[in-house]
Amino acid sequence: MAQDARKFQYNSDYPMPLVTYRAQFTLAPGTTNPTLFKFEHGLPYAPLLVGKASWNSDFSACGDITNGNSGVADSIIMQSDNKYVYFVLFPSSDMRANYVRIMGFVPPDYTGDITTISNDTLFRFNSDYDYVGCIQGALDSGDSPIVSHNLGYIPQARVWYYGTATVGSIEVSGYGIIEPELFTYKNSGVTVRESLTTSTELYTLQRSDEETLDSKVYYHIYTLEG
Amino acid sequence: MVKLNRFIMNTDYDSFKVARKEDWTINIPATTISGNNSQTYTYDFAVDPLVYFELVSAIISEYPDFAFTGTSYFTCRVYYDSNTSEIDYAINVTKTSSTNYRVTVKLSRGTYAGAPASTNVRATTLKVKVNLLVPTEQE
Repeated sequence: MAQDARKFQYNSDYPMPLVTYRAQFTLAPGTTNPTLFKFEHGLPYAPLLVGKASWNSDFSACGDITNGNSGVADSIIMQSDNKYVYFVLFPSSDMRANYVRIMGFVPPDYTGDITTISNDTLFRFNSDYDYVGCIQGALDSGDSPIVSHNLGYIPQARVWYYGTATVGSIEVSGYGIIEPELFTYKNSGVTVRESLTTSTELYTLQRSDEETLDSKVYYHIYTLEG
Repeated sequence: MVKLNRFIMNTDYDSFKVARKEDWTINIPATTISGNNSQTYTYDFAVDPLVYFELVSAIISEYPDFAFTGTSYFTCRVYYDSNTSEIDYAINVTKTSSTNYRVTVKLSRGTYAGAPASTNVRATTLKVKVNLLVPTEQE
């Protein structure tokens, strides 16, 4: 019988999302606007990235890199492929340096090996805290963009879109219908978007008027309530 | 060498712990927006100075069965008056100082053929849920 995933500090029914990459960079505006940066990540796959950006090196005021940063950092596009992490910086007129702190998850469909890393310091697991369980997967073009999770409550989720292939248009309209707008920059590489969840499903919808639609979608559905 | 996908939990790698959970209820008043104008509301909430990675979700009272989740900027479009008028809700959650988060809600009205001169926007309750995550090594 299924149990409410929210009742557990750690629930072995759901794997913990593994962070296999962590890095911090300083992005100083160059002579071109925008300015492109790329850094080798050393992984055998394109990591699914999350990150913070700030004009302050201590990140006292910061925003999620993908949200346009709204007065705490410049607009930054973040992407990855099998070799590099990319940042495209759109500096404001005062040409300030931006600080970014990022983490990368392993894609759910990666089945290869990875070198183990040492774990000499601090605690990886502390029962004083709740841990994040994760339902993760990958959708190819042609798969349904709707993922059933059946958690019984509305969870939080995150999606990443990859590639430039056109997968068709989805138009949702009509009185009383929410039309989600998924904001991100689309090009080659992996980008981050919003997602729409209900108590039973995750929707990975894309607007029909975006530049190009993507061929693969990675998702995390967390056991945290949204 | 190990295969990552064999493990439910693998202490060789970092993950996230939930350091704090925040539930913010924001009451957006009824208003009238005309033409292509917009209206912006800001709400400030105090938190610790740690640098968190957030999982944010937003539920609008008119559509309680949906949540926008993931990064901290969402938009949704609510249709009024049988498709001739629409209001975009742009919701942005940002850390504005070492101890403060700000939720900015911007209501913008789009117009097209057949739209009335103004839209009476109903009072709305926005529920923002934030799970503040830190890497398992960070105290």
